[in-house]
Amino acid sequence: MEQRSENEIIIRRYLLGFLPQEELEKVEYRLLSDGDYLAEVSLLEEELVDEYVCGLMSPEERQKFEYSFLSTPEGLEQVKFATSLKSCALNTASVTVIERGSENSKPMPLKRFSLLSYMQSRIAIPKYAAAAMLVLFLLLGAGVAFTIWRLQDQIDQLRARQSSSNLHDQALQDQLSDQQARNDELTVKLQSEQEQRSRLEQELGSLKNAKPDQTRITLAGILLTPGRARGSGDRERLTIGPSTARASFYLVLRRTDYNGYKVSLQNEEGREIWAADSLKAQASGHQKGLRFSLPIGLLPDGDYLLKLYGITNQGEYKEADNYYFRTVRK
Amino acid sequence: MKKQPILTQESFDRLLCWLDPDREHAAKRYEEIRRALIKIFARRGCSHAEELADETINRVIKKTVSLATNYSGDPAYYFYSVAQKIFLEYLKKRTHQIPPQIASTVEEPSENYECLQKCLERLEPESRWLILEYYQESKQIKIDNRKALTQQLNTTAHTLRMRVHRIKETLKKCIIECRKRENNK
Repeated sequence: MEQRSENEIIIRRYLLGFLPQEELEKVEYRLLSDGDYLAEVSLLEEELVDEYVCGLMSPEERQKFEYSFLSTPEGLEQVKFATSLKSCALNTASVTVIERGSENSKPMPLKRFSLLSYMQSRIAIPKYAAAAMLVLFLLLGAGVAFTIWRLQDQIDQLRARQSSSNLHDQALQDQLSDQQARNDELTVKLQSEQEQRSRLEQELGSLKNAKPDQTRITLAGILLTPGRARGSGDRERLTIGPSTARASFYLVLRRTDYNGYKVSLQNEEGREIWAADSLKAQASGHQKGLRFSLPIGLLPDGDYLLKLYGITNQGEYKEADNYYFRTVRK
Repeated sequence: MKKQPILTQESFDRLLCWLDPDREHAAKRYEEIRRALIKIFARRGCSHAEELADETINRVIKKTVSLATNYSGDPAYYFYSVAQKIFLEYLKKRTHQIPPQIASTVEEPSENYECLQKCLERLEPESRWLILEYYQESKQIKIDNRKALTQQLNTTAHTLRMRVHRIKETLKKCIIECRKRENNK
């Protein structure tokens, strides 16, 4: 029997009705006055019920127990509950052994788990035999694990070698592909250069044979001074040939103290068709002017106005001058 | 017929006030005293322990007006003395013997057995294992098993008892709910 404290022995004797009157009154008074003592008695009461249910009582104890516990509905209920638990436990015992490994029936204790203790509780064999079996299992297990490890290592080595050889082949293949691509590239380049050379030779030949075209004019130029009359008779004329591509302008400046200039080209309707900003004055001899050019497509035959704006230091635009001209095609 | 304590709000407040100035402590004391009285009467072989405990409380409540002013000492002692009187009265009235069918009644499967099985399944695996291990085997093997359990868990017998008690309380509550569900079907 497990060791019990003196207190537990007294409580047990009280619960079974073995205490003399004087001691019984002490226990009962303490039950009423001490909540912790009441809880302890309740716990031991449960244990007593368990002992009864599991057949751990002497005949005398059994008789006393039945007198005090089974005569009350609560005591009877306690005993029935414990009996049911015991039945469940016994029925589950065999199932637990068969279903080892299943989560619901895994016999894992709350804290430490001793395999040796667990085996002892299940199989009635001497301790040293259980220990010997355990050691044997462990050795066998270790041996098998070692063999598996060695074989795995050999397999890994073979795989590594195979993999390395595959990589080498792949590298050679890649080199070959690169070389072929390079060859193709060079072939294409050579062909292109040969074609270009042939073209240049043809051009050279045609250039040698060609005569200069005196009538070909690609650029038309005009010099404009400010303040010319607005009337059509006094306008400067810009003559545009059939092959003229651009018109070059030179505006003579009256005021040259601006930081920069803006020029706005307007047609007869006063609509701006072109503009240029931040133009700088260029010196030409003793005077300064503005040079710019336009594509000739902007200038169908007609009258035009070039408005000139000076840009001050503060970045403001101030009207400076107007220049009138007319385009004529020949 | 079961007698309920004569509890009106006023009388209950008086009783609690007499037990302890702090109402919460007083309520706890009341419950402890009532449980203790039931235990005392049950251990003395009274078949209606709960009724006798309530009768004890009824009589004490009747006296709380004068007790509050005239009584000094532990209320537990007063309860005990009233309980003693009630027990003597009970002894005069009763003819006690255990009906012969009680022993066999214990052996019959409880109507709660199915619910118990279901409730066991709902326990956490560790708790289920502990409670089933606790009830395994019989006699000397059981005693050894209990010792092994305390060693395995690195705990004392008292702590093991507490754990088992808590698990059983959980199971009891679960069984009550299970029975309710079964009855409602």
